[in-house]
Amino acid sequence: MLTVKNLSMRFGGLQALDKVSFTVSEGEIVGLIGPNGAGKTTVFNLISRLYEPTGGQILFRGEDLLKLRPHQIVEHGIVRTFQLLGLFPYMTVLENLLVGEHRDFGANPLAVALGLPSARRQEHDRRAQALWLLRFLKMEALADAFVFALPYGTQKLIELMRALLARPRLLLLDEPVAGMNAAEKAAMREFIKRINSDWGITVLLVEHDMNFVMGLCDRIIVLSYGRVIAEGRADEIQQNPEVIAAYLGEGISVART
Amino acid sequence: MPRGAWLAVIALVLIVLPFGLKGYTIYVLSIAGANILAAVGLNLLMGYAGQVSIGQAAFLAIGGYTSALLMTRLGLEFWLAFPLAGLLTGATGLILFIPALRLSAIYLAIATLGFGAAVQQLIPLPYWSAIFGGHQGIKVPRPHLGSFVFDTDLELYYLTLVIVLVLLAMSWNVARSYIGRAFIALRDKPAAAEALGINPTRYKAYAFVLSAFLTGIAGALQAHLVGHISPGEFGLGKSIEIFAMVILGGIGSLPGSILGAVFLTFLPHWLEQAKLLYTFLYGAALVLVIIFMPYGVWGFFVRLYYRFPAMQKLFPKGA
Amino acid sequence: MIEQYIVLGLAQGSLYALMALGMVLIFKTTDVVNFGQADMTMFSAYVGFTLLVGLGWPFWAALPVVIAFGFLLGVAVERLTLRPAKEAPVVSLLIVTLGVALMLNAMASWIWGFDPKSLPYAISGPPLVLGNIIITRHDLVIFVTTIVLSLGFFALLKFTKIGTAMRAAAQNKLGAQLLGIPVFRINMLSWGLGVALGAVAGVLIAPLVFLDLVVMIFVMLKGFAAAVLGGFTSLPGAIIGGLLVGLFESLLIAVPFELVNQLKETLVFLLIIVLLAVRPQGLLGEPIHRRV
Repeated sequence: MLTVKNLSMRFGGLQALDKVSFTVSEGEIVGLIGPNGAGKTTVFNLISRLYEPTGGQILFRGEDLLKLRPHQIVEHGIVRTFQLLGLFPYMTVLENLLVGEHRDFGANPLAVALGLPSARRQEHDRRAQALWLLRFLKMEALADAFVFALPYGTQKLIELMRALLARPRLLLLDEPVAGMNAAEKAAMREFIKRINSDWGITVLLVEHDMNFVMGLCDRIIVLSYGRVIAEGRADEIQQNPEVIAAYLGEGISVART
Repeated sequence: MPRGAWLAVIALVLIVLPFGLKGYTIYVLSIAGANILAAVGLNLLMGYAGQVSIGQAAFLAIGGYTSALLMTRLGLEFWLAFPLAGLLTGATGLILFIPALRLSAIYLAIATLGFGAAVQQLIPLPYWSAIFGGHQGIKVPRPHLGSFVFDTDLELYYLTLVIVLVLLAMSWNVARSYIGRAFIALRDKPAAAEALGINPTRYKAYAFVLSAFLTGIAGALQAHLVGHISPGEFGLGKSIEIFAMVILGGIGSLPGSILGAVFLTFLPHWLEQAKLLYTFLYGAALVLVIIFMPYGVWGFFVRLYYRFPAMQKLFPKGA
Repeated sequence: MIEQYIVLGLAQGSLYALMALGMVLIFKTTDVVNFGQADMTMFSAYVGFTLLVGLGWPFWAALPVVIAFGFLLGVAVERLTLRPAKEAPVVSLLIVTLGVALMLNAMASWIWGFDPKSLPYAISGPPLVLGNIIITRHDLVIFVTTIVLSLGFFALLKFTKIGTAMRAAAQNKLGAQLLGIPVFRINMLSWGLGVALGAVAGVLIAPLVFLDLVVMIFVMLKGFAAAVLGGFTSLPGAIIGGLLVGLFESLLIAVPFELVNQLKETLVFLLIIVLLAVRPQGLLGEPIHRRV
């Protein structure tokens, strides 16, 4: 589904990514891990076209992503979340979710201004869809709350919901459980599993919490200093000496499951 | 009270308002109407879309001259010339949209400032003074529908009321739609907004055209109310006045812009008796409002609303 | 002939540079665009008028007093209006500076009236002739003052403790606060120095024009444009921007078409917009990185 070939990125003198190659197949949950500064978020930023790579290719279902502009990515079915929250702080939860449905809006601006029935119906239908998802997660009470006032974990979940409303085929999650407590993490793990199995959405995620990654992902790709140093199932990764060496400096045990 | 009832009360007040007022006060109210449209136009651009402009007076001038010239030179009827002036001004909004594609914040402010200066310098040039009337400007005909001419202050007030209410409703519709949300999304988190499919080029263009359109209508309205138009009215001072209306009312809030516009239209008239003190008090008012209401008058009301439960009962949420 | 226009342009540009330098300094440390710079400059120039004409002081005695007055004015504006309004967003602070400008304008009209005033040159005497260039003594004072002030200013920022603190505060406000740098005092100092730079410009411009309540607005706008051209966060950029704007304006006068003269302001802005389109961050500004 997603093929990354020899992807390189250079910031001034820093080689952030060096010929990174990997693939993600339809239906998988893939984890992208690595010590701080390994280049994980850079990979996401390249796929979502925020950066121009210095070399390499990104193909999605046969399409060359590098030909697209950032706002065109979603039309091909790739949606992402952000490490440091991409929610719009001065909008309510519902309004944030409605922006997630942006690609399904398209009423003529004149029809919008004049309040014509076609534009009203569209707004009404999209609202109903967003409210349905809020009810599905028993969060309808939050619809009119401003997001900046909500707890961090809740904001993370809302950002994920917003991404889902954009109808992704491939979902890129940047640290989906950062700052969450154990119960919230468990709930998030179940939710991502459901998204994947029930709704058929492929997931590529970056996360520092090893327990979370090991317990959720079908396959794990390990980046270190901008290179792929290992790839495989959780148990294979935990025993890979190169991975253990890469994490040693971080003081985190990879085999903590 | 439900939202519909509130709107009905407001409409009634606005219809009855001019009775018992002096003709001149009614006239100033109409001018405030024109200013409301200009403030809302800038607020959509600056408060919603995050594009700073300190050259809005240029759009006022373009709207005013266009409507006047379409009527006097091409002999168009008012009902045709007036909206056409708005639409043509809207198209000129694209002149600012082009630098806005590359420039942000303070750099864009300079470009808009330059645009304002350019329009004010171009109009009175001697080469076309036969059309634009040079520095003296030109007379602007009264609005009319068929053979009915809006001539008295009261007639002009009601005409203004209808125009302002219609355009406010349209602005409100846009602000509350996916377009308004796209403006705010691009302003606050451009990367996240684009990742969700919002095309920054398109929505910047929308913001500039919409803002120029509303400001053009405001300029045309003002020209028809005053009955005369000259380039001197459209300097940097006017642009900054519109800017101040938006900030004082509360940036990003359309009701705030209405309050800001009405307040700054009437302030000079209230201070008139102060004579020498006038400029001083005007300046002091600007400083004091920002010190005591950092988020503008509307932000102040919102704060009161959340502090006093009684107000929440009187005005239910979402009204 | 063209050399003459270049010299005139550089003299005019030096004054824009001082104006720009003051605005950039205030913006860099406090994030506020000082739209009141014109009226603060105007007021300081009127103080200069009182000293030079009213009291008959010589220029060298009046200049330090005007600088000190500008400094105190800037400090007072920061302390009395901007700090109490610090809760407001930065665009709103722009309105505060505008309000202050109107108040100063009113006070100037009470004290000095509405009639334009003329100020004497810093040094009188016949102009100097260098080959085919004529330089007035006043222009010479402008050059020397600008060079001395700019150098002194950079030395202050570079080699003194307070200068280092100012640069730190400009880089990262929160970080500076954590390091124990008194950010409020730094803000006050920036305002003082920024307005003082404008005051110097004002007292040097006033003899070239008739001093009235609004003349400085045009100088400020050119200074603002110059600052943006230079990058708005770069102090050397402000000086280069000022010189370029002055030079361009002067060369336009040399063009023998009447239309060019009538559209002088427009063309200056047009040039700046074109330059910005090529280099959106200004000549010496740091490129704006896209933050994710």
